[in-house]
Amino acid sequence: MKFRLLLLPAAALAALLSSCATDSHYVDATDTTVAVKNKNRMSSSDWVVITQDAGNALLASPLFEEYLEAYRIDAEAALKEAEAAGEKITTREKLTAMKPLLMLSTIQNNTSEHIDSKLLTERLREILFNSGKVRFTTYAAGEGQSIDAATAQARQLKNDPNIKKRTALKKGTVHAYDLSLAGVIIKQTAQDGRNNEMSYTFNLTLTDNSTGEGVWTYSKEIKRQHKQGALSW
Amino acid sequence: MNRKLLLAPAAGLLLCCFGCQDTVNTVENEPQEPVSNIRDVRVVTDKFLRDRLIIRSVRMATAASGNQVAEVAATNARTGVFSQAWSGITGENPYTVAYKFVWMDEAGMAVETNLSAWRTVQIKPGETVFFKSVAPNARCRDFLLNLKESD
Repeated sequence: MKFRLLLLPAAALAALLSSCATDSHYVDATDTTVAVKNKNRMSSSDWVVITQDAGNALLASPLFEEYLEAYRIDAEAALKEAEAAGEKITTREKLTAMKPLLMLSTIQNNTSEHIDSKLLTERLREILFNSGKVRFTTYAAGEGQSIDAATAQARQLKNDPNIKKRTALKKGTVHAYDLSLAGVIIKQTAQDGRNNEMSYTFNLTLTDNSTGEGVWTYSKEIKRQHKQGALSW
Repeated sequence: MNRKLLLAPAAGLLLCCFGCQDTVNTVENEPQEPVSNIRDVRVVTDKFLRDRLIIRSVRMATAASGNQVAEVAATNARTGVFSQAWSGITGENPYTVAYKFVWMDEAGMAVETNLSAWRTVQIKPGETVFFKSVAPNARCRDFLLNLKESD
């Protein structure tokens, strides 16, 4: 009997301690169904949703595919012309020249939030690159996007006495981009009593930089609603 | 007399239930081809979901890009007075379903990309939705659609 009496407070203490413990565990970052969403701000799951929708639209776009086919024909003709003119075409260029070079341009943030648009642009770039449709450049990028300064720095190494001259990169070998991905994000909010609504509209375009014409455009509005609790403020 | 008195509120309740119905009617042209254009294999672990969300067709096509496109049409079959009333009580109207596409390469291995994510969709009673996905590259030939009731 006494033993049982001793067990009771011990069990209660154990229950208390376990309820106080904080648990941090990994979850599937692409699972938008369980993701915690900010009521009034963009959330991680919003980026997952827009990336998936825009990626699907891009990969199935017949007009973008027309552009890619035309680019391939033009690139093939340009390579033959350059070779005929005596220009030395590297094997790497022959392998990759049939795909346009993509540059991540500026995503205009028309919201009052601090938004890192790289969460969208770099994911879309990854989808496009892994689909085998485009190459991408890290030499040039729009405002807010990442640039890899190493390409420019590598050309300055030729002045370094420790560098083997033959391995130093030459000037005039970096490729100019053909395509740019740009866009704008617009936020709208609405409130009626305790009902709140928030939406983000994403307008994305791919532009053929040789002509300035758009080859793909996409608009998507992501809308979320929540009802404020009667006692919350 | 007593029986009539009992019937009156029952009829009123029934009318109320009918009035509360919020279902979707659909009209479509009669399909000229078989609804599904591929054979599919289904593994059912949730029979409630199977009966509530009827899979109408499973189709695959090749996009201009050469990538496969998969589309699964499904209808929320939770119509009728009792289903509607029960859905209303359990807070399942509209019906929320989560789904995720996974694409497989020519070796049958899953290709993980940013295009593969769990998403939710709300489906009104009687409404037909189309789950659609584009393969991440032209080498993907097969797909798998995961479906579950969302909390």
